[in-house]
Amino acid sequence: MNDNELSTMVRESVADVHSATPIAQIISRGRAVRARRRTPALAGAGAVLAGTALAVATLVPSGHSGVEGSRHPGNPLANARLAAWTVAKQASGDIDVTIRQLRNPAGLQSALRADGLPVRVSYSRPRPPIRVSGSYRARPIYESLVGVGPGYHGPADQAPQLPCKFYPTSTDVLNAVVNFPGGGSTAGGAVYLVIKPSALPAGVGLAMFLGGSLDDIMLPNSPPPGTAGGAGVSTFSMSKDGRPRMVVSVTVTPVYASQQCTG
Amino acid sequence: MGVGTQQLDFAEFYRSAADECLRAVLVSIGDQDTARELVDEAFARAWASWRTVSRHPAPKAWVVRTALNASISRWRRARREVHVPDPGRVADLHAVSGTSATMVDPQIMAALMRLPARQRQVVALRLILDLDTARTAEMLGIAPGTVMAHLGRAMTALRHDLQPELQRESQP
Repeated sequence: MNDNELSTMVRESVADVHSATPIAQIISRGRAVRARRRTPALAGAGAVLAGTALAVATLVPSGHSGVEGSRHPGNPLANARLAAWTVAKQASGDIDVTIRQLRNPAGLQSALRADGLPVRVSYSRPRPPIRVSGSYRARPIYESLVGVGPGYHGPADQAPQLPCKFYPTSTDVLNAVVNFPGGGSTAGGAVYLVIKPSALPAGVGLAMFLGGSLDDIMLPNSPPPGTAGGAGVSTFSMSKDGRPRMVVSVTVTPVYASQQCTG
Repeated sequence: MGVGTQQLDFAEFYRSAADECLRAVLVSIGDQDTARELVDEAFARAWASWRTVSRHPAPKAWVVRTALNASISRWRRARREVHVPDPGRVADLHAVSGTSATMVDPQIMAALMRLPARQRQVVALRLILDLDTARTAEMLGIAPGTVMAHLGRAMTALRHDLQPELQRESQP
């Protein structure tokens, strides 16, 4: 079999596949894409406000840098409101989380832990590729926290010691714990999710990754069969050349709860 | 260009390119439903950016590249709305159960899915979209020589995978 015959065989293997989506449906969907692109302007406005709030906060000798509202430790239903994100615990115990910007992840982690969620919050920041004796390329944040992923090419016994361990669970269980109402994004380009700590299996917590680049958010290359690697939502704006640019990305993945990982 | 003209222009492009783009994405990811979803989304983005895409030297390749990018990002984020399963496993399941949505040769699809992702992308762009080596290299962001190497390895692997099947078929 020569190359031409093989090429013909490959082409013919999919020759009966046809697109059945009506053009009207594509155009309607395209209009929705255009509408989504309007969100960056709103998100940009939010960023300016947030920057202002943070700048003002640094002038005030307060332990709550960037806090717009306040958190009341004695009141479990109080909201911790920050420019970059909002955490609100409902009477049901569910936690509403809105993330507008990739700022103050430590504060977000503290707020979530204070609401009873065993969680580790990490976020990516620009950094050069990590190389150890030629064993690494650019290391996604997931690998640095939970496990050695597809970017690791070195010997297993030289893998870095990591603070968290991935907990294999089903999609159903993960769906019970984490929800993204309305598709998980708000009109302003923020990510919105609801976490139900009571649905977490005993001894299990969450690792939450915030990123501004697809390359920084990577789930396990091959989660065990039947398990969920994680769930996430990203909001995008569209650059002038038509390429999508991520605004905020939030990915949640189950991990074994431990002092080292989830506090 | 007025909106009406744009729409006609895009409609013509969609009619002429939709099947080919779908086949190219299918060859790359192996699952028909996911391929349809990704291609629909890519065409929607093409319509949303039609002024730019219509001037692109290879708009079909733009659509396929956009669909594949969406596939990668969805896989990475393991979004709930579209779960992209392990393509090799899906293709093998189809080969066993014969349950693919449209008649696609399951043995060839399984052989394609056993190729590394980059080789499948090269096969999709070179063989299905019929792009030349230079354009394929540009779309994938790799060197032309790398495209040729990927295609050569892919053809060798496919030939090795499919040859026994052909021989069995040719036996009386």
